[in-house]
Amino acid sequence: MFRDGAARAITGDAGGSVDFGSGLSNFRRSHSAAIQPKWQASVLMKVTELLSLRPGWDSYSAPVLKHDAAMFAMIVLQNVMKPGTPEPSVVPSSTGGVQLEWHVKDIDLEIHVLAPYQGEIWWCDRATGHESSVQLSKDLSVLSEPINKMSA
Amino acid sequence: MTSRPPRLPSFDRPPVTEVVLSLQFGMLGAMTSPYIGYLWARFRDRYPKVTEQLPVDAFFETFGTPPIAQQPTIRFEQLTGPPTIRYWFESADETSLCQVQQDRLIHNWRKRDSEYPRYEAVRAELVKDLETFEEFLQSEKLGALNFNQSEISYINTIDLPGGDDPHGAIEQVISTWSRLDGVDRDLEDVVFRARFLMSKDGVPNARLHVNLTPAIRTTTMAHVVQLEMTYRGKPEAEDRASALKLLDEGRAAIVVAFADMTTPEMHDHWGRTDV
Repeated sequence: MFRDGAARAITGDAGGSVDFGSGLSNFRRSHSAAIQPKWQASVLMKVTELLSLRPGWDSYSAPVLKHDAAMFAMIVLQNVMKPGTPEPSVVPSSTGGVQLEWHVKDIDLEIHVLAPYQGEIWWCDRATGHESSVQLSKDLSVLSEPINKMSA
Repeated sequence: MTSRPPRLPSFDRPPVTEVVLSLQFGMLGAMTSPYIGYLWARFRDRYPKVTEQLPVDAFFETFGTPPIAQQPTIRFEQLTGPPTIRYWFESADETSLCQVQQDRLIHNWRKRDSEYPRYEAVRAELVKDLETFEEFLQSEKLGALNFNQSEISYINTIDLPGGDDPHGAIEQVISTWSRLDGVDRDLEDVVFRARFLMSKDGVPNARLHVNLTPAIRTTTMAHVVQLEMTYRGKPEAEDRASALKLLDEGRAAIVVAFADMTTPEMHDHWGRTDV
């Protein structure tokens, strides 16, 4: 499920040398799999179910969820989830994306992933009335505040 | 062909053994296996060999959160349908390799008996691949390329002058490394990984990954170290020019970082020409 982002994975042993580090990479992968948090398997299962939806699954003309949108949603979660963060609800959107939702501890947070780097982040702190809405992009720092509040 | 930017570090005999230029784009779900024969027909003059490989995972750099050990990589299409394939189209001398899968086009230059032709020549080959690929997609009505990630890697295979073993002597290769061995304690080998946030106008826009591993050169069984440097990020826009521009920026960043991280003695060994 995990890998290092190295060119070697693209090309194999094209450089004409044997890499002693590959054993370490294999160990790292096994170790990562063994210690992965519970939300990963659960969210992965839900997202995989959504990928099997047929066009028009909403009785109208909703397109299917795209694989790269699903992958990007997993990457967003991997980057922002903390040990105490509740697992999000995972729902399909009628525009072909996936929505990750939390409604806990006075925080409403919705991340709508339409495609890699495309979509919307909306969150509201019901205790203070603060509300924020931004476009999803490569910068995920906007998620720190609502995630921290939910994970406390 | 683009020209080499001025003031970049340059070497007569760089230790690079492979250069990988990769463009990732929105998935072309309609580009299924039966169409690939039509693509090979267009590629066959340049790439007479074709083989099938497992696909490379999609990868997306993000910023603004604490670094994670590893990005999750899941090929959802493998979970929901028949396996997808990455196709290797190879030149007769195996130096050039064009790789195609539903969400990537990759061009590799691999050192065989030839000298490194320089980045500009490798990039020109990628552009040729891209033009052929886009003509094929248009002709078969398989969709358009919306680039979401550009990635460039240099793989350097480094030996020491005089044939000494570099595994325990990394300080002779890497300028910031200090000797760690002492009385009755000899360093045998080192593996290290470093990641650098690369910013433009103060805003992170790419990441430079550096991996150093001990290795053995299969042709001579000599001990070497392999220094892999990968620069990856999201292009400013989804068009081809933006995707190629990020590769150019990555090349410059890698060459500068390579010169910064390696020792003047090794620069002499590789014939540095810009100083």
